Amino acid sequence: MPPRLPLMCLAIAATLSSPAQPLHAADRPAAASVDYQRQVKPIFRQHCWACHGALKHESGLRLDAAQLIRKGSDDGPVLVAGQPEKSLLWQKVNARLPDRMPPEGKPLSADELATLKAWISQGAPAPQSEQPPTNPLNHWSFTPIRRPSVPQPDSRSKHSRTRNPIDAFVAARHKAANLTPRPQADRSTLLRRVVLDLTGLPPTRDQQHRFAADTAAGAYERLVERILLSPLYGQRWGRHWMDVWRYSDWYGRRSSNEIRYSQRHIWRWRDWIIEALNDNTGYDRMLLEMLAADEIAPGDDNALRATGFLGRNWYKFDRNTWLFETVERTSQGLLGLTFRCARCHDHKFDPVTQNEYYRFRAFFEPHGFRTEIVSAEVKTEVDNGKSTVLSDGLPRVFDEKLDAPTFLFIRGDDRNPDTDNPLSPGVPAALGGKRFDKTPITPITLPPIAYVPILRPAEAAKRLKTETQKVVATHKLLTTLETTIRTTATQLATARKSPPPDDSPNRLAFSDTFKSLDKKAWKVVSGNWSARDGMLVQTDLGTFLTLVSTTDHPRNFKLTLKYRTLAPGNPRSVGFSFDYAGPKQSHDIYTAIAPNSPTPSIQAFHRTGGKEIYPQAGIRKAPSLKLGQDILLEATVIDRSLTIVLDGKTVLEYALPMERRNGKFALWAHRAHVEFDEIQIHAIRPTIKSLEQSLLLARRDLPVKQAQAALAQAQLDSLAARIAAEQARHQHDQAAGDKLAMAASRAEGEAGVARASLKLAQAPGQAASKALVTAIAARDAADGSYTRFKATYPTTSTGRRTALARWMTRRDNPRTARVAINQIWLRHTGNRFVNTVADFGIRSKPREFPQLMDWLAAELIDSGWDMKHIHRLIVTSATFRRSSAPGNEPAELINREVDPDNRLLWRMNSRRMEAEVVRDSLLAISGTLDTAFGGPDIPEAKGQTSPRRSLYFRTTPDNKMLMLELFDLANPNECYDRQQSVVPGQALVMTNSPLALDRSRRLARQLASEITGRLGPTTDANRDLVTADFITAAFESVLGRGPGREEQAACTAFVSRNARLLADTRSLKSFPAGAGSVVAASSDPFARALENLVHILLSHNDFVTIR
Amino acid sequence: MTLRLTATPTTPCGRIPRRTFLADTGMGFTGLALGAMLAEDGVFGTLGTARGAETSEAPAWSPPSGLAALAPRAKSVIWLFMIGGTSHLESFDPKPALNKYAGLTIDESPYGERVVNSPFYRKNVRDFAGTPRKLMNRLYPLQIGYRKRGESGIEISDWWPHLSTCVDDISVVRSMWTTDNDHAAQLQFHTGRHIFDGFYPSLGSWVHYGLGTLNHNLPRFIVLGSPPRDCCGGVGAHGADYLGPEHAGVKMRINPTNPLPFGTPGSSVFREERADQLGLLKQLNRLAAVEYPGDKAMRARVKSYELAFRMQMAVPEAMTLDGETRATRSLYGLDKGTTKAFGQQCLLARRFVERGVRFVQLYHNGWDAHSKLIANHSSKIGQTDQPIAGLLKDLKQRGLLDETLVVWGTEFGRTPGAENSDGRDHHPYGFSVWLAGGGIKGGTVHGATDEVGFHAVEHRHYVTDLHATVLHQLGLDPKTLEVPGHKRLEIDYGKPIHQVIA
Repeated sequence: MPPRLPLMCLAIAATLSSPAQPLHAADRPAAASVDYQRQVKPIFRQHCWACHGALKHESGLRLDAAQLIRKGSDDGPVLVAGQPEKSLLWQKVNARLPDRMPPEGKPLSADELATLKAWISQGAPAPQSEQPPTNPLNHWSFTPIRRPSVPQPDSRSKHSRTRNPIDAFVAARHKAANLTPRPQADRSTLLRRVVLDLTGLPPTRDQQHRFAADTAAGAYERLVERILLSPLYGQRWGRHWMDVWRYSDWYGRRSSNEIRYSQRHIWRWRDWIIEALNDNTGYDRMLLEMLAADEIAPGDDNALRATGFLGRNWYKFDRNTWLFETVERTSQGLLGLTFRCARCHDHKFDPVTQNEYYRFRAFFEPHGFRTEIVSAEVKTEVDNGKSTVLSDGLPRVFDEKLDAPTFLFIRGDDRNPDTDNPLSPGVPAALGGKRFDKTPITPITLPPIAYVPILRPAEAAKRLKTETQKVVATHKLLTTLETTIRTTATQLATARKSPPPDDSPNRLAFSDTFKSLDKKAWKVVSGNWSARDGMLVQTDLGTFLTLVSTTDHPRNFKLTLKYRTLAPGNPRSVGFSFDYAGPKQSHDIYTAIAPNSPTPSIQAFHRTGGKEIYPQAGIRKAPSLKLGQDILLEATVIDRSLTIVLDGKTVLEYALPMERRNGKFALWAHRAHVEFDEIQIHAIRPTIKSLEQSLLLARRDLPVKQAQAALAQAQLDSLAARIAAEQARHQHDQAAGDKLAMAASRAEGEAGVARASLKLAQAPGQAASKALVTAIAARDAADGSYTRFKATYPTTSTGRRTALARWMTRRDNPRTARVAINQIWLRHTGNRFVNTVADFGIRSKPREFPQLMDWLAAELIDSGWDMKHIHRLIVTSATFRRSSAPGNEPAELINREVDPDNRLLWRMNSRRMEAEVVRDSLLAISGTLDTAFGGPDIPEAKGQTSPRRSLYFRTTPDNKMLMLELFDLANPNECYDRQQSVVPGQALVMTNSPLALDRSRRLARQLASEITGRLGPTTDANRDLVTADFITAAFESVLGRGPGREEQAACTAFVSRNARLLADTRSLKSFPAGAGSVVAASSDPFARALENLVHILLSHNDFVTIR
Repeated sequence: MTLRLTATPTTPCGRIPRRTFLADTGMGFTGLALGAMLAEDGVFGTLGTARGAETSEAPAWSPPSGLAALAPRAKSVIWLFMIGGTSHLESFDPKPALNKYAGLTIDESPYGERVVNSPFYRKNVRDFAGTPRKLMNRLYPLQIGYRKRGESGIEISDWWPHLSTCVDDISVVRSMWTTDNDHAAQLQFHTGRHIFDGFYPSLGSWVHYGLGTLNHNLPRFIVLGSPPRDCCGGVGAHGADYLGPEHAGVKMRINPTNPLPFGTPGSSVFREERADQLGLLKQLNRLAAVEYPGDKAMRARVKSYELAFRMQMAVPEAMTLDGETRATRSLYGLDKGTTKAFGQQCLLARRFVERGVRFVQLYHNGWDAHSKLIANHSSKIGQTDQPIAGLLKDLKQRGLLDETLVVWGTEFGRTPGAENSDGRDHHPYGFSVWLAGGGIKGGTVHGATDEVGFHAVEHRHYVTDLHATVLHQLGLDPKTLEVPGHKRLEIDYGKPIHQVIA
């Protein structure tokens, strides 16, 4: 902070220096007398009140009322009436920095200085009646909620139509303002209103007919009860709360699967919101779980989903941005507290300080996020920048850095923390901070399931699955070996019966002299390969340019290869692959002649999993090799042995390090041109000696493979037993626990024995035998102890977020319930108790119904934060049921004069449907909406084709369904209140989108077939009847009501006119192509006219309006 | 025609309570014009008197009037944005010292001290991913020559032969700086905020918000070309954030038959058939309106359908280049493969401003020359040099340049030191932009970087100074464009660069 010198010091400076010279053209004569209220007070308000007002009075000076200005500061008067030059007040605003006031921000303009000067010159007149502003702490939103008494309705007056206390509060205001409330809306309007309000979908025709028929008393109330039980309610109100809690699917760089904001799988939080609402979970419980499910329900995966509320603020690149968002969104959305100014300095208007901002941040300082495994089947994928991540999972909060200190950032600059003063968590004093500070925050001891991941069933299942896979793999190897032993033994027996002559020629399996490039024998993988002059030639200069055989080579074989390496390129390698299964898997041999390396070489290497591995043992110098000279390469491969003979000399005897497998063979040139003359591959027949050798090796390997299989099984058993024991231990089941611990102890001992047995099988010897004896002894001495699983995460949590959530939902918290009730009321009625729904600060003011707000807030709290109770109260009130039409009775005309904006709810407000409701309704009326619940976000591009409800589509700042965006979709970064614009883009969606065209055509066909099913196929005789019935059905489907007489007439005229127009389309002009509609218009002009009628009804203002 | 509605300060989605005066700002791309039309229809009635100062303390807020507060010098803006970071050193800011000390490190050159110990070095930059970007230390010589151009003698590199012929109409600012050294600087260049601060309204959306329309049938803010990728701000670079989506740029495809989202019902629908439907719609809405007198939303909706229908006709017309002469087409380079794509955008930009569109934002991608600077920049400049020069000449010959402000910009410059032996890295400390037309003083250079083109040292300008200049030329005072609940900082407003204004 810059030095903000108290006024006192400056006063001394001012008296010592010569009288202040005017610095601006401020001494121009003021023409007329200055009006304090209109001209002067705004100057003080803008420039001075932040430090010299009701909130803060630095140097004891307040400038927010004339009498206080006259009173002066702690150091005496600042104003000498009639003499601006002698008034410290004037001197200060007219001075240069650093003496000037205000010390920060803009100085007063020349005009403002002139005004102020003139006012002082004129004797600083001000109205006597002016009252100093009251203490901000007395502002309504800082005082606890007290339940106001319900006004007694006057039974004789026109305002007496009250159904519940809501109406009594509203009626009292009507009476005072002499308003005549409108009667109840007609039943079809009311039905559509309440069904849309609570489910987000319009009533079906069937629902309309049933409700119309139910004329018994209480029909409406029964309807409301039914709807409140419908799970569609959760989807509708879930979306509302998703706005306020700023739900966003993850975003960043989708193209490289890189998350930068929010959480993968955060849709689980969305599903939690919907389920919690349908279960009528209390609002207090919802906040508690969203902020601290990891502390209050650490083992409950369902509850942990709620912490997506915090995870949504995650930001990959900057922890401070992340915490800044966390503080801001939590305080605005839940408390109506705008905290963001206080990040850099004390709030200018509200009684919150910068220090309090950072104390609030301290609640969140330790928290971090992680993703839990949700099933054994879960796969992983690569996140660019975060490496491997789970393809499915549960993102959840936990306190990661328990000791992370919180410091105030000087001027909000995170590079400048005030490290001398670490801060403890706290809430602003104005909101009850002192009471909060009295209760110490107690750290929470977490159950092991919260920090030992394997105790989670899904994690255990996944680990056991991995171990089981090892068992299967080792058994497979064992079985293969056993088969090899059997077949080799049979071969040997056969050979011994009729021994082959040891020098029997090997069979020629493959040969080519390259008269041509035989497409049947070879396939080009890369490079420029051709046959000419009896040579196979490769003339490109790329890496590993490869020609591969179409057939496998024999397992044991002898290769003869004649070729010449040619000039360009470096290092000029030419090679041969065998056991080839693509460029990532092969054994290879090659010759390399590098111009800048003195000695050419011959090498063996192998490729596996995409890597090339060059063992030192496979490298031999070959000085005789020369560019352009013939090379004769002979290689013999028998099982795992490789022998290379170069120009008649054995140069390499090598044990292949990798398991053999069947495969193709290939020729390749790496940065080299090459000419091959000939290739021959002979299959090597087994001899008795070689068979004996193979059998010996295989039998020697058998105990190892057996031990490996046994070990895998023992490890699986051991893991399973340890998990079972550990789970029992934590469930405090003593008896079962002891038994299972013993089993685990023994199973672990068995695994030890199996491990020692394997070592012995691999390398028999005294030490290994001894180790086995020790392992057996250890197993036999099993005493119930076993290797415990270690904690992966902290075993305690700070309890800070729980403390915060509990404070928020205390009965004496002045904000939480009011903020929530304002949101609910706004979304039911279009009316606001407080205009600024996310700012209940000093400058906010309850509008017309402060008492009703507090009554409902008290009702919310006292009902156990029962939101359905509040919905029920509101939608069954007379206030909610009123017609939204203004009416034409004389008294109603007065309403329009007195309260044109309906702030006092003398009628219901008409509201534009939210974006999701528009799209869902469109799908619903044509019977094609899929109301399925939950699941990962659906790509927004599928919005025109997928029939799922709109809230399940991907919504992020980067991904928004265009149709929804045009209808004012919530800004996923911040949306406490949607707007309701009217833009031409909406008209284009409703008239041109495939969704609107296709669904209206479908609906028209459904309705037409229903009617013709009743009246018979359309003919000239019944056409009028069909048309009339169709119009009624179309109105009911789309607008939720039947047509009026004039509407019926207009539509009838349209249908015949439109059908006539379409009877001959030759002279008609088409629109350009490119809409993507899939349902073609009917070819019959009459049917098409009916489709056009339904289609244009979607554009009716009453379709997108909730009346 | 003047509309003055007062409304209570509130923030729906951080915005304004549209419903209370949706007849005005809520009209989206037809905006105030529609408001005006409704006013002419007498729709507003007593609207103005019913509200007023809700709280006695705060002065009543009102939405912008749609009229310029100051005398406007320009009616429209064409905003040319080069995505990836154009090298100022090979374009508009010659630094012979780089040739002299090429191959030396900055420390070894006589300027090392000044570069690294500058108060701006690193301290000004907020590092992406928490790690400071490496100093590209080895000075890399200029990859192209410069010469003095036009009467003003401003030096432009030889890679820009066409633009060089327009130099007396442009004003180069060589002293821009920004604070993001990664590509989210693209967002910052348009919103004035580092991406760590989140998303804010873009310059075009402020213009949209502040000014009325000149054409009732076209969007006020049109975007052509591929926007930044999501990493770098994405559509946020022409977004409106808290101003509301109706103030965002309308991205158009360069396809005259279907340029708008949902712009056509497809060829299976006849225009006459649709007109017949709209006739019925009007009738039905009018019948329903009887019960709801004074329902502004309904009136606005009826108008919006008529506007949409007109837009469906007007937008393809504006995008059809059939009527342009061969000379005009070749002026923009439409006859050459390399220049055709951007030439088309530039020509469309002219057609749009000719028709009264307020803000046309053009994107050109691919300037991020970490290596192979010569190949990259000679190609990228080759694609844009002639179209941009063609645009300036065409505007001038049609007398449109006086009222059209053309701004050329990029998110940052490129390092004086070499990266990967033949490229340059991102450089937020000093870079160039230029302006032309719309009351800009042609043939001037303003501001300067240091001897090696590292730091902006004379007349330093943060990106919002450029915004302030644009708004100033349009006659808008950014401080009158406040939105309740969204406090702007002094740096958000910037200061007009008066030295480049005629």
